[in-house]
Amino acid sequence: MQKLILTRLAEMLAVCLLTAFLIFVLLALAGADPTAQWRLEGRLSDETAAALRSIYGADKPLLKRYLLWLGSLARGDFGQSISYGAPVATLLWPRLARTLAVAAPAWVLGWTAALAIGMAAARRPDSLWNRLGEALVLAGSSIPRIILALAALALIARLQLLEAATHVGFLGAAAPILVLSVPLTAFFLAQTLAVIRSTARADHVLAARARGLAESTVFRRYILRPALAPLLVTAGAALAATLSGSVPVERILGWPGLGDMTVTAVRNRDMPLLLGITMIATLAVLALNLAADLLQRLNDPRVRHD
Amino acid sequence: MTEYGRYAKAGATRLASGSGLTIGLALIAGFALAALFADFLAPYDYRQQNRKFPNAPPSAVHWRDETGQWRSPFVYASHLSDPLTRSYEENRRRRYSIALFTSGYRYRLFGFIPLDRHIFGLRPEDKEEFGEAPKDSDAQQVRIHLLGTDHLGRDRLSRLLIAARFSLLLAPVSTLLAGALGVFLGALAGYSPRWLDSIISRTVDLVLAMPTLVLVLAVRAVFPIELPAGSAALLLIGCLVALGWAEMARLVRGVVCDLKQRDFVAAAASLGLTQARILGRHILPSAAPYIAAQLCLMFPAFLLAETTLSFLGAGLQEPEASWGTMLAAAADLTELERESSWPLLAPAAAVVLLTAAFRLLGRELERRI
Repeated sequence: MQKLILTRLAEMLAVCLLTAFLIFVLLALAGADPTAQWRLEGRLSDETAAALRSIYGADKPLLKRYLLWLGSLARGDFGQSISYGAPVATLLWPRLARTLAVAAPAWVLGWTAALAIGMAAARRPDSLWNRLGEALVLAGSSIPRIILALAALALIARLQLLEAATHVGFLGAAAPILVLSVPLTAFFLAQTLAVIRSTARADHVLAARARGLAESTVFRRYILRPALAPLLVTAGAALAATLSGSVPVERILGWPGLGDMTVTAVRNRDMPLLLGITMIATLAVLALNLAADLLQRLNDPRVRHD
Repeated sequence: MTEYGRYAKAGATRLASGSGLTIGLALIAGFALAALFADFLAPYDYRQQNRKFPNAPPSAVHWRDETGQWRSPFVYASHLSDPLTRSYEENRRRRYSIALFTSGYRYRLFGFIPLDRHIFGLRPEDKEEFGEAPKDSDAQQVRIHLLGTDHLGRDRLSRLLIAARFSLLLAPVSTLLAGALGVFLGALAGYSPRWLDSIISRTVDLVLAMPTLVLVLAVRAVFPIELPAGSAALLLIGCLVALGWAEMARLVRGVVCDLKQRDFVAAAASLGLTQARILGRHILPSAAPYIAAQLCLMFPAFLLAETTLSFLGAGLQEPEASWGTMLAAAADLTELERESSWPLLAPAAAVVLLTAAFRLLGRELERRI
C-alpha cells in the first residue's frame, strides 16, 4: 500500500516535469519570444525588449531556462505572469478555487443523477426510466459542452437573466454547474446502467434475496457497491474531461475560473502562466486518480487483496 | 474456413441491415457531399464582405406577391433601415425570383474543374418586374441569405458550407493518423516482452489522465497565435495525434492479448508463419470491428477538439471559416438577445448532427461485435 502510494507519487512528479520539459523544448524549437507581440506593435525599443527578455529568462539557453524554472518551482514560485504582471502562484489559486467551486457540485450532481436513474432503471428493466437513461446517455455524449454553454447563454439572453448570470456567486455559478453536469451525468450513467443491469441479475443477488434479506439491504450491499466501482475507476478521466471542458464553458458563461484564465494566457502567449496552469491541472487529475484507486481498494475487497 | 473468416463474414451480413446504421451513414454521406460540393452549394463567396448588410436576418422567401397571387419563390430587396438596432426593411416594389444553377463567383470544383455555376441564386434579370426601374446600386445589393449574414455582411450559409470542408478534412485525417499510431503501439504492447508492454500501458494510462485541452492550448501558445490555415491545420493534427492515440492503443492491446491465445493463432504459428504475418493477417483482421467502433468514437472527439480550439481563437483563424470561429460570434449576449438569432446556432446544429451520426454508427458497430 505504502509502496503503491510512493511509486504513484514519483510517477506524478515525473509526468509533470516531463510535460513541462516538452513544452520548454517546443518553446525553444519555435523560437518563442515573449516580447515579439509588443515589438510588432512598435511599442517597444530594442533595448527595452532585451531587458525584458533577460527578466523573463528568454535570452538563456533551453536547458538553463528549464532548470531555473524548476529551481523556483521547488520554492513554490511559478514565475511571473507576462500578461497579468503578477506572480503566477497568486493568480492560480483563487482561479482554481473558483473552477473547483463549479466542477465539484457538477460532479456531485452527475454522480447522484447517474446513480438515481441507474437504480430506477435497474429495478424495472422495461420502465420509462430505462429509456430515459438511454436517451440521456446518447444526448449527453453527443451534445458538446461548448454547445450546451452557448444554449445556456441563449436562454439567459431570452429570459433576461443577465444580471443574475453575471454574478460571481451562487446565481452565476448555476449555469456553469448545470452545463458541466450534463456530460458527467451521461458519462457516469452509461457505466452505471451497464453494471447495475448485469449485477441485478447476478447469482449473488438472487442468493441474497433467497436468504430473505430486505430489498434495501440487498440493494445497498450487493448492487450499489459494485455499481460504485466504475464510477471510482473513471474518476480521473472524468476530472480530466471536466477541466478541459471548463475552458470553453467558463469562457462563454463568463465564470472567472482557471479555464477562463487559460484562454487569456493563450491569447497573450503567457508561457509562465500556461506552464503553471498545465502543472496544476495535470497534478489535480493525477492526484484524483490516486485517491480513486485508494478508495477503490476500500470499496472492493478483491482489489485490496490483490 | 478460418475462424477470422467466419468472423468477417458474419460481420458483413450483420452490417448489411439496421436502421441506426443507415441513418448514421446517410448523415455522414450528406455531410461529406456538402463538403465536397461546398462551392457549388454556396451562393456567395464566403469571404466576400458587404458593409451594407451587417447582421442581416435570414431572407424571407415568399410564394405569394402583394396581390395574393401564387408565384415561383422570390425575395424582396431589403435595406438596412436602422443601423443602430440593425433592423432591415423589405422593399416590396420589386420581386427577385430564386433560380437554380445561376452563375456566381468563379471557383474550382474538387480543386480543378473551373466553374461559376451555383445550385441556387437570384435570377439576374427578372422579366416579371413592375413599377419603377431600380437604380444600379440597388440591384447589386439584392442578395439572398438563407441564414442571414454575420457582422461583416458575409453570407452565413456559404461560410457554414465552406467550414464543413475544413472540419471534414482535419477530423478524418487526425482520426486515421491517431488510430494508426494507436493500433501500432497497442499491437506492439500486446505482442512484446513484459517490460515494453508495461511501459506502453503505463504511458497510455498517463496520457488518458491528461487534461487534453489544457495541454493542447499550452502547446498551441508556443507558436504564434495567428497562423495561415495550412500551418494551423498541421499543428492541430500534430496535437490531436500526439494526445489522441492512447484509447485506441489500450483497446487494441486488450484485443490482441485476448486473440493471441486463440486456436487459430496457434495454428498459424504451427504453420511456421512469422510473428509479423500472424499479427497482420490473422489477428488484426479479427480486431477490425473493434477498431472501427473505436474510430467512430474518436472522430467526433477530434471534430469537437478542432471546433473548440477554433472557437477559442487557437485553431483556424478568420477570415477562414470554421464552425468554431462561427460559433464564437454566437457567444455574444447582445447578438443572442436580438430577434431571429437562431442562425447563430446553425454551426452548433451541424456539430451535434455529425457527432450524433458517428455515435449511432459506433453504437451499431459495437452492438454487432
